[in-house]
Amino acid sequence: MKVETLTTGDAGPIDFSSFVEHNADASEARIKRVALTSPEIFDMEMRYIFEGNWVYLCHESQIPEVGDFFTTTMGRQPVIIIRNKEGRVNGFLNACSHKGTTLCRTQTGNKAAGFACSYHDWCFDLDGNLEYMPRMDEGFPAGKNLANHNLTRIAKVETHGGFVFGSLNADVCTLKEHLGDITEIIDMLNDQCEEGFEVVRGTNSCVYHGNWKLLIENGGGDGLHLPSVHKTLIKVVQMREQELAKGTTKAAKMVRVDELNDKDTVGATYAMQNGHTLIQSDLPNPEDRPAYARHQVFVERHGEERARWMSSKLRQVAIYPNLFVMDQLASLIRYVRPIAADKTEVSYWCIAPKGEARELRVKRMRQFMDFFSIAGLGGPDDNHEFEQCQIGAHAAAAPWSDASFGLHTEFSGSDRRASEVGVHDAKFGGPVGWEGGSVRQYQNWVRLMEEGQKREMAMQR
Amino acid sequence: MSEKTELQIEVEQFIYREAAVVDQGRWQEWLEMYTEEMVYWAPSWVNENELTTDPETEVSIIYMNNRKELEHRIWRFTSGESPASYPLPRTNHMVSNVAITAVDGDEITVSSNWMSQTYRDKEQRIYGGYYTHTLIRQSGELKISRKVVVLLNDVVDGFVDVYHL
Repeated sequence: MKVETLTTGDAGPIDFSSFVEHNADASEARIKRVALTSPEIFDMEMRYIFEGNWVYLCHESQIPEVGDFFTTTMGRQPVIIIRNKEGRVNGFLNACSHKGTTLCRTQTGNKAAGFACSYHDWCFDLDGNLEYMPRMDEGFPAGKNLANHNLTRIAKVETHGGFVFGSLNADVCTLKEHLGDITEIIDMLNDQCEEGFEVVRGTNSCVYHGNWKLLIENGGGDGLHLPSVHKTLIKVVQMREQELAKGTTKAAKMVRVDELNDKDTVGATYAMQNGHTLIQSDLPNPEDRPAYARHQVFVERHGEERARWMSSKLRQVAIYPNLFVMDQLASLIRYVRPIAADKTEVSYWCIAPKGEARELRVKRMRQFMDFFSIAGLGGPDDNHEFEQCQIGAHAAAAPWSDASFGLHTEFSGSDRRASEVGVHDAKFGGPVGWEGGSVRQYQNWVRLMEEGQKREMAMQR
Repeated sequence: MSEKTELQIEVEQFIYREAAVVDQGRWQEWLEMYTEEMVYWAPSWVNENELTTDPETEVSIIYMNNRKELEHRIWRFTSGESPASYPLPRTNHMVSNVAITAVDGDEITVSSNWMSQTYRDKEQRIYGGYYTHTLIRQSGELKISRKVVVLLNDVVDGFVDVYHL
């Protein structure tokens, strides 16, 4: 049997289109697992996707004041996101223009007075302009233009509804075009209160030994894994309900997940523009969610259907390639940072309406920690399955993963429910459990990888 | 032996027993070392040097305020049906620097340092930090009414559960 190998150079460009097979007539789709294991492909993903296209950076509530910064990476490149004197969000490479020394060395902090590099005291203002260095007059002839010693900006930084995105490649569409109607789902968070949403204090991060795409496809369209991977969570939800009924526990009631896969539950998965996905589903006990307390206000302001989406539905968007905005069993940002082909950092940031009533916040925190904490009753099981998929992906004699479930039920475009809340630009959809979402994610991956490869080859010529 | 020394030895033996009970998987016995109204709290890091201070309104790694929750957790990770916890790792908890920091009537506050060496899937993982136990006496026996676990690792390898901490 021929074992898949990957080489560039003499062998020519990689044919990424061969990685995804989609036969609509036969309701069959499959994905080549070497995309998960190859360090060479990982390298290309960093260049073509994470350093060549829009990626999520941080939430504006993490940098509320002038000079507040947040450090992260775009692909492998360290970056700083900082609020300037005018309150605008700026982004720079976290590398001094002199020797490349990092300027900000903590996750967050404040540099209202500007950046001073601790190595040689080169100082920059909040717009990245070189302002001062020791013995500046001696080091350079009078009148020398030092503008090329300014910090290197992230080519594009734009925000929507508090979510900050950037691209190291200037030649990309606008953020609005990139997100499409996904903005409606982000707006459904901010519309829940007058002052918008914030990230709650406290980090929750882990590294799993698996490829980043395993998490993206899991949260982007895999509604099938709930009753299997999360069967102990489902049981704990039931156990807690019994104890609550007896009055023997003080924990918050959990949002049930056991019925999400029932074919009678109203819900759907949509493959959106640019590889994003959206899952929406009714929840069995929405009245136990903190957002439900304001359901009537939502109805008055936004109408019945949108209010139902805001208070009572699971809404999960995977914004390709590195962000989940989830308002479901809990409300959170799940941020995905690839480290290597077989290593991925995941951060769970709980989000909440600013100024939320204490009793609702308490409930929200418990629901977040119950499922999504790095010690939660749900998240660890998902991450462990990704690690096991990664091991199995090395079984190269079985090179394909199947993604055919529910393909025969696929529909084109948005359905009535999505259109009613302004989500018109879905490309395809299917019931919760339909695996077409991940197939479309991979088709977008093929597009980005082919575009990136072409771009790079044109530059080399 | 002075009363103070006796109490120090009793508290140390109790804290060491908890470590041994977890390492040996004597889960029922572990549960019974806690009061029914117990609090178990592992706060999250806010930044490089600051922890969250309010488990009710800020993010934690674990927060339980009733023994039933610990009981459910134990059921979950011993059921064999939670992929993350099957098979359970071998664990080795080392506890030291045990110091009684306050005695207030029946309530004894104890601080200690801990480290756990865990081994599973041919891989060793090390966790460590500080414990603060609040102990009370029920029918002559010491019980844990509150345990705060500070975990120094803030980006953890894989995940953590109570048996790592």
